[in-house]
Amino acid sequence: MIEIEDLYKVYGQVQAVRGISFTVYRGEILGFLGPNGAGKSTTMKVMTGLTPPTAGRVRIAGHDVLEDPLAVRREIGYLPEHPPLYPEMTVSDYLDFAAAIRAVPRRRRRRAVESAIERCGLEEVRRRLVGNLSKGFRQRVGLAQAVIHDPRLLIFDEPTVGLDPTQVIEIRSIVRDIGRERTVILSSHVLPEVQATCHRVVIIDRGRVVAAGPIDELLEAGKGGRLVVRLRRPPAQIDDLRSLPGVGAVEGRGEGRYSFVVPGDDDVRERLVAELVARGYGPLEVRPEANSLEEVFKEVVTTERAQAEAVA
Amino acid sequence: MNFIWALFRREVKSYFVSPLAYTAIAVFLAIQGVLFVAALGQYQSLRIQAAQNPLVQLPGAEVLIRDFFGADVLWALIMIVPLLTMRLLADERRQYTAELLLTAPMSTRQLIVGKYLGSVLVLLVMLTMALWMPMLILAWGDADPGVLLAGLLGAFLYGSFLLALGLLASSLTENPFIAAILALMFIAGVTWIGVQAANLPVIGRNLDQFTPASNLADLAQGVVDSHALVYFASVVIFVLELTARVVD
Repeated sequence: MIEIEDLYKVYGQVQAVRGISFTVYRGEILGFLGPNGAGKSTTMKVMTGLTPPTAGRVRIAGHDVLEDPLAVRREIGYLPEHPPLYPEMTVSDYLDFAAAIRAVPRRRRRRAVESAIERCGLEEVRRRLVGNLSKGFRQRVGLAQAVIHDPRLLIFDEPTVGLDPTQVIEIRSIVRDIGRERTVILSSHVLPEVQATCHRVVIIDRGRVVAAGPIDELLEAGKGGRLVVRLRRPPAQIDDLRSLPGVGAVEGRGEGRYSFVVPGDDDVRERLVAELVARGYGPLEVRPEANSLEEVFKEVVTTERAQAEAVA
Repeated sequence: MNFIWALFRREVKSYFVSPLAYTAIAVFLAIQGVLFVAALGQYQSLRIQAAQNPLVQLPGAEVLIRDFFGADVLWALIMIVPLLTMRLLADERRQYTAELLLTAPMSTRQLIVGKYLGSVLVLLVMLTMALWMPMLILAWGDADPGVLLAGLLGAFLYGSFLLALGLLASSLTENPFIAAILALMFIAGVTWIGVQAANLPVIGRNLDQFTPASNLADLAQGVVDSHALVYFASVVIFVLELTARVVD
């Protein structure tokens, strides 16, 4: 759906994007992740045709953003970093206007507005002025504006930034709902955001892609091979645990919790639990220590930076 | 065409839900009213003089209408146009709505024309509301209605040209206040060049054809010729094209 090849964007002296390439496939929700100032918004602006690339190619549904900007614009719905709202209009007037400039034919406009209002949960505020709405509702109006013409591709630039936790959950569920039958690319600098909504992530830092892949795979890649174990009747001596099959080092975490280092690729959980029961320790919980995406992200970004500095 | 219509409608609505259009229209009517009353007073004293002294020639009452749509409207519009145009494009940037408009599948020219026509409608409303003053002269004086129509057309064309300049000014900044100042400077600059050109010896008279003020003056005199129409249409198109380039 989106093909980005070796994209560069330079603003005066600043190289905002330095050779980014990735592909977004039809029907997926892609998380576009990076610290602030990594070049996320810039890349998204190039995708929408708001700003031309300095070098490289961006194709949206087969149309080049430079050669056929109008065709590109017809394919996309875009929610910029700041929702583009007219404070003096009512929600339904605003959406009607958005539908008109998105080339929704007049006879289908009312239906388009209704379905956007319903999808984004705006029924109760449809007659209110946009300028008087809470931040959460404004963001929803921004989302409604992006889906009004039923585009195949949606580009959301930090859709939940600055919202309170309840609003964040609501917006995420709307985004997931929208992503059911469409392609979505969603940028964020907060990881739980991406973990909660996306199938795949592309992580960028300082204008370059530093990691890309399905979320599970990225988590796997960072796996340290640790198990968290909780015991009802732990042995008096922690050393007794080190003799367990397949276990390397053991760290006590207090209250019967332990962290086992499990070297090797074999899954030792079954044997381990049998042994724990046999010894009468009363295992309550055995689970792999989840590597949060947060850690992966930090790790990827810092190692990449270290390498870059080593080269320089 | 649908795009232009949608933009036009939004623009007009936005003018009339904010105090901006009302303020601009009120100020315009006040300026025109004061100038009109002053002109009436002057004409009255001229008439008294003419009655006492046969050597003083009394011009027809038409002169009042000519001034109303000539010099008077020129001054009033210089004050009002920057108010009307300052927000047109500057606010789109400030509110980030430019991103909405520029990612829509329409051309920049359609965007500019739609917004421009919105401001032109306000001008039209404004001029129509001022119309009762010269109509008094028609009703109680010996004026030619043709002069009134030509004058109205002239004021409308001249105002439309100034609106285009104001729109250009608004495309250059995201601060409406700076946009207003810039518009004022553009308008003053164009007016000044017009005055200077007319004062140049010999070629001045030829150059004069190319200044907005002299084209307005012709129309205000009741002379409708295609020259002025073509003139205003082409300068407006030129300035709008320039604005579209700036926005792109």
